[in-house]
Amino acid sequence: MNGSRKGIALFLVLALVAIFVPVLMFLSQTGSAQVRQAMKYHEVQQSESAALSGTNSGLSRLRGNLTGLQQLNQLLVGDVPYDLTIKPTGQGLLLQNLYHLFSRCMMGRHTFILMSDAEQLQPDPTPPVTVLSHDCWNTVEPYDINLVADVTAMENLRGQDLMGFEVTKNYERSKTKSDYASELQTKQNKLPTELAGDWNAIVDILKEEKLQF
Amino acid sequence: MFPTSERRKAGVTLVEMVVGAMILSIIFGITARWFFMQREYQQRLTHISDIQDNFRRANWLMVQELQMARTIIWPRLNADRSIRSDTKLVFKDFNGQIIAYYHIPAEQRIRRCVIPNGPGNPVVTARPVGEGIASLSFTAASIDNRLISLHMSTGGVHSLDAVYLTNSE
Repeated sequence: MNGSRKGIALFLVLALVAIFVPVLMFLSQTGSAQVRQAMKYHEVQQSESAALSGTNSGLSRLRGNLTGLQQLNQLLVGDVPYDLTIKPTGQGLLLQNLYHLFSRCMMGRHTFILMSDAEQLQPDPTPPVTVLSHDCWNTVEPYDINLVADVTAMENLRGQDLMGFEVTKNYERSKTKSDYASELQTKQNKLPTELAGDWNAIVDILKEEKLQF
Repeated sequence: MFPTSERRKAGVTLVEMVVGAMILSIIFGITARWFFMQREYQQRLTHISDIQDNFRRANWLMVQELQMARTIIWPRLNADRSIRSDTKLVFKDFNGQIIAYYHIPAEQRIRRCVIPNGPGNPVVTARPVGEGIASLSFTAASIDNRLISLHMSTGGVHSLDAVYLTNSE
């Protein structure tokens, strides 16, 4: 290759590098930001789904006549790991065993914990044992469900919510339907306009479904 | 005077520079066009991704609270049990408080309002539940008032989700 061709080739190579490097960097940055966003959402969805499945697997274990404290780690839903803690909390009026179920799934930086009550009715000679579950509660705080202190903290937080629920239940029970409705009606002019329009119809439903006992 | 071959070895002539620049400008033109097309495509994708992100954030906040709620108050099925939609949703949360989500089309926002189930004034939560959402509808889909679907749309992008309330009254 003679001198002139070398010059042109060098000039072209350097210029092409100068053009393509920033282009490739720009494309890779935009691509990776979107991938990160999608992965984060995927983690949130998967951890929630796995924790919900974990609760169901805990209920199935109770139906299968499993009793006592259980701390099960690294169980799998597909290839997603989750932890399950089944904590006995005493006996009910019908001598049924009472439990708190904790199901936890952690993916990346996202944690989802579901806590629920379960009653294991007994004695049943053979499985499946009748199990009733109620009052689910969730949190995204990164508690460790294998630590007594963390479990107590979760039970306390949930207890606060349940006490709040008791207050509203007691309020509803203590009022007559008309008193309950008139108290709600007074809020109409303080509501945002988007809600105020149908408020009378909403109050009618609330009044009809007011807790009586 | 140098011989012709020696003069060539000394550097690049103006004609060679012009030829090089012409070839380069053609390549640059093709690359620039491709680059701007890609940028436009990326901007369009980013815009759709931003809208979807708004949907996800709003969905997540609403679904988290709704999953643990106790009953849907509004909307309810029609008298003939056909489905019914509205731009607002009123329900009793885990604590038995009355919560409302409602859409403000002019602001493209979803707001949350806590209405005490007892004495006290309604309080609108300062931070919107969702932003950049052109339309929103909640559809009641079950007779036990525990299944609700959420539909959001902005600029031709749609999101549809459904929530079943885990707890009962």
